[in-house]
Amino acid sequence: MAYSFPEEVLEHVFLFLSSDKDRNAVSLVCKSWYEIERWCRRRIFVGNCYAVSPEIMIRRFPEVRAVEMKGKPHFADFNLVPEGWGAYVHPWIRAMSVAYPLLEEIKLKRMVVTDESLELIARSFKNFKVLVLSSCEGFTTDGLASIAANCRNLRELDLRESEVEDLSGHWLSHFPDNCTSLVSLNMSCLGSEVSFSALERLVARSPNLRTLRLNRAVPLDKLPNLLHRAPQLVELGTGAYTAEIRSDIFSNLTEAFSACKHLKALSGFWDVVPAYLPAMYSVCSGITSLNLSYAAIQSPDLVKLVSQCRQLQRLWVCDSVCCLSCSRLHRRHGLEALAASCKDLQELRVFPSDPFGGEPNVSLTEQGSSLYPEGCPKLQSVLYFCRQMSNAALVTIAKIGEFYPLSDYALSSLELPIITLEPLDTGFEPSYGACKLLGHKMPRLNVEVIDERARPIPGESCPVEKLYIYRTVGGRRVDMPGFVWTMDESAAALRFS
Amino acid sequence: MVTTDEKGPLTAKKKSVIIRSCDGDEFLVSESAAVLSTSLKKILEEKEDRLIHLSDIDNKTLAMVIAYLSTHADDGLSDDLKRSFDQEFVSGKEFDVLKYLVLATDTLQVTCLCYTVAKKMADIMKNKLVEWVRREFDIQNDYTPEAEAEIRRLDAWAWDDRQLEDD
Repeated sequence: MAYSFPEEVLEHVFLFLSSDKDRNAVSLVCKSWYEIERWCRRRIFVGNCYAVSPEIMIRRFPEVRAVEMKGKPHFADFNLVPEGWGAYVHPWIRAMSVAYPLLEEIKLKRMVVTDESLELIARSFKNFKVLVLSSCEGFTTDGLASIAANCRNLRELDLRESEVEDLSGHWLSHFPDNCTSLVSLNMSCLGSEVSFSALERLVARSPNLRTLRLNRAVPLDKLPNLLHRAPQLVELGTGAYTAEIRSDIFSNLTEAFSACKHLKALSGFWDVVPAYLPAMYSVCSGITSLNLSYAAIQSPDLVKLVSQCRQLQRLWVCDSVCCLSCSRLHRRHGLEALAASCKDLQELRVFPSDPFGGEPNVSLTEQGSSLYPEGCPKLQSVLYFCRQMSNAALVTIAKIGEFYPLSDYALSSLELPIITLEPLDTGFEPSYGACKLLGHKMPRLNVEVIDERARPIPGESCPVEKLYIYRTVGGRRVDMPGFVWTMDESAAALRFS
Repeated sequence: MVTTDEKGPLTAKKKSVIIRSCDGDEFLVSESAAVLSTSLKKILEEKEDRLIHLSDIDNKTLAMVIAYLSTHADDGLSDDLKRSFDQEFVSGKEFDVLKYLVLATDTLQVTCLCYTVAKKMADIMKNKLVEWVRREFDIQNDYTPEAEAEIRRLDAWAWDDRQLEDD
């Protein structure tokens, strides 16, 4: 061999390989590369906390600085995973608190996080910087207070879509006065009021704050105060966008928005009063992302707003945009305006205004036929949350596909949340016996049946209620509640004997 | 190699050193450029000799490193110009050339250039298969097929960010 690579040179190269795929490829080259790579892997992504164990992770990667992990399956978003199913993060935090004292980032999705875990994080990692809890649950504002009080270098605290038990709005005042490192604060999921003076002081002493997403309890007339203190904001989530119509509030708001020259993303807008929307028109020309999924905004107001946002790339709306009170003409009008104004639009999501309600506001067939192909040439993704997957809807999807024959349009994700719930017309009705067989044949798969029906234990031919199958290198999990049945041989023998 | 004239009074005669590659070519380099390499700096501090022989760097690679050092020693160039020089410097270079270059920067301890080249190598290695990496680095696979399959499975199942991005 003409040359051999010293370890430190390879390390430099590996450090610039950021994706897991490339890191995994490198560790497969030979045994010595495997060793070098594992010691310099700083970021870990675990797609399913039951696919691997903390012990396996720590043994392989001793010097990790950032961990991202997901817990419950995606269908948990549609209330299909019963409470107590699992995805507890505490065993992971406990193991990491010993093994990774230099850990800086934790990002969790759909996991159960307790105050005990948050306190352990706050105590254990001296240089902790980023905490993202996305669709997580199990903790209170007390846990957040200990994060605020102890993580002196905290840059990001993001609680998107989490369920937090609000014990006190004063948790924000636990950020010490010398904490000036915040770059991102997202507390949009919190239900109750926060201490506004603590929030104001925190925003004022955070010169690097780029993202601020407020919760519904922050009233509109307080927003100008915050904006004046943070004109550098790039992403803003408003609180409730409602107030009695008063010219002084309107002019304060208009003035505050006009000072924010860097805003690119807007969200929030709970209880929106359309009369106040023009107060933010001055920032619209720079907006690339608009999330109106919490705003029950009517089509004409949306048209006016969207036509200001010429650079819009991402739009999330709620399907009341095309609600029943509008005529069919209006419904089309909303999407046509979108197509006419937003030539850069890449992503459109339409959320159900009442996901668990009865009749859908609008059916996919009508929506789909309003999407005009010539309007938004850069459109890459349309996500439509539908409750009913009718034949007609499938025809519509096929038609959208035909509209864009050159495949510059892809219906990239289509959510079918309910299809796993009722096996009515699918012809697929797995029985307990079949699941047992699968678990037995595929020892690397964890086959879980989730069944909350009354005991006694169902017979082998009985159809299962919910089924969750995933592959794992961590073995069987040990923390299942009584309504989860793992379909491996030993468990089956235990439970079905 | 000609260096730019110093502005202001000349307090000392401008010093140069000669660096010889493993294949015998000699390069005249200003001392201010040479000392940007931590290794060369140490050698120059320790001995009076103005001729330094590098037994494991070939002439092509050495010429590139010296071009880099001379540019970065030039006080007349702004940091912005030096940065764009760095980008130019690695762009379009073959992977093989970069490999020798990164080894030379390691030997000579030129940290900034080492990072620049390492990053460029990583950019090229992105999305490449294991087999490509083995070939380019001339590395024998010392895994048994079973061991390799086991690691592949673990990696794909436990830590892989490809599939679950927005899930």
